[in-house]
Amino acid sequence: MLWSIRIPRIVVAAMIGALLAMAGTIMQGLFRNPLADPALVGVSSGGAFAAAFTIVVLDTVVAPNAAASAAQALPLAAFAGSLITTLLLYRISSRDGRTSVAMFLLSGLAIAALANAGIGLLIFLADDRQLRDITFWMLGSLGGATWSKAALIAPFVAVAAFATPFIARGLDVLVLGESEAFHAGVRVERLKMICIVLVSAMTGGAVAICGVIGFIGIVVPHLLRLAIGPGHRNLLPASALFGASLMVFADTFARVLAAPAEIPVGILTATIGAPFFLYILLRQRALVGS
Amino acid sequence: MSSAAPARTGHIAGHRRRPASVIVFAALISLLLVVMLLAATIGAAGIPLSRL
Repeated sequence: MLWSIRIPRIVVAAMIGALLAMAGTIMQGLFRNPLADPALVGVSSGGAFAAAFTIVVLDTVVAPNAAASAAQALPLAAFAGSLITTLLLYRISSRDGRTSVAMFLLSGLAIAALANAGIGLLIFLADDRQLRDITFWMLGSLGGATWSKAALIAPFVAVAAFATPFIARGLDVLVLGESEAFHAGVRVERLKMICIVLVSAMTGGAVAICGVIGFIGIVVPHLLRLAIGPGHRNLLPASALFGASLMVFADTFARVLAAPAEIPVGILTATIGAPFFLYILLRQRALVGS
Repeated sequence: MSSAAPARTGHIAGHRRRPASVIVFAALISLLLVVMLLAATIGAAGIPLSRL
């Protein structure tokens, strides 16, 4: 029981937490914006929309009797959805090499709203079983974690861990601005493309396994910057460790809070993360005002 | 002919030094291990501890 149910769930939770926290850290470095979070600006919603589209359309139109094919296509679809959303977000909010914070947040909200509208339409079209699957994506849960899912998510973690040392210095210099980073010897366009693909892959992989889980990517980097500073060489691996801890803790809490029923972990992370997000907003306003 | 001791790289007088990253990483790894152990042993969701 422990080896077949509990341990794979813990392993998957740790890997998902690490991915989401690292994705948040990279996104905040890339956009030079401490409010950037894959779930907040619609990247997760884009992935969830692609996953819901796969659940409904692939299941109904392409292969009505092949549920396995839909399950296999889900990670790829979620990755593609996240990638398209991130590229769209970057294209809209960047102009002449500069990223507007207001445009970034507002376009992120608009994309998230559009993706949620699409998910609403798919919910309307879905049958009972598909409806249950889509609800699972929207709320986020680790209830279905198995060793095979752990094996599915492991390559994403490996790629992220491998890429971290190569992008850390670039992200540090990028804080100064894109032209300054270019003159400091950073290949800005290549760095941006690597970061966008990484964030999309990490978010898409996480969404494909456990649905939309928000606020891990915004809470973790903020807390860690207070402890170890803003340098990405330390911040990225520390985010992975702390994100993993937070996710395992949140999942355990979600599991025991209303036992034997289970609260979807996405609800719990949003309950913790949303007040924290408001706190950051108010703190920024106080800093700007003073 | 007295030569001043070279200033330590990265150290600025008057600035509070951050805790060594080694300590932070050790704390984070310990936290992860403790949380994972807790998650593995807390019985819930219909699985009593005695049946694990």
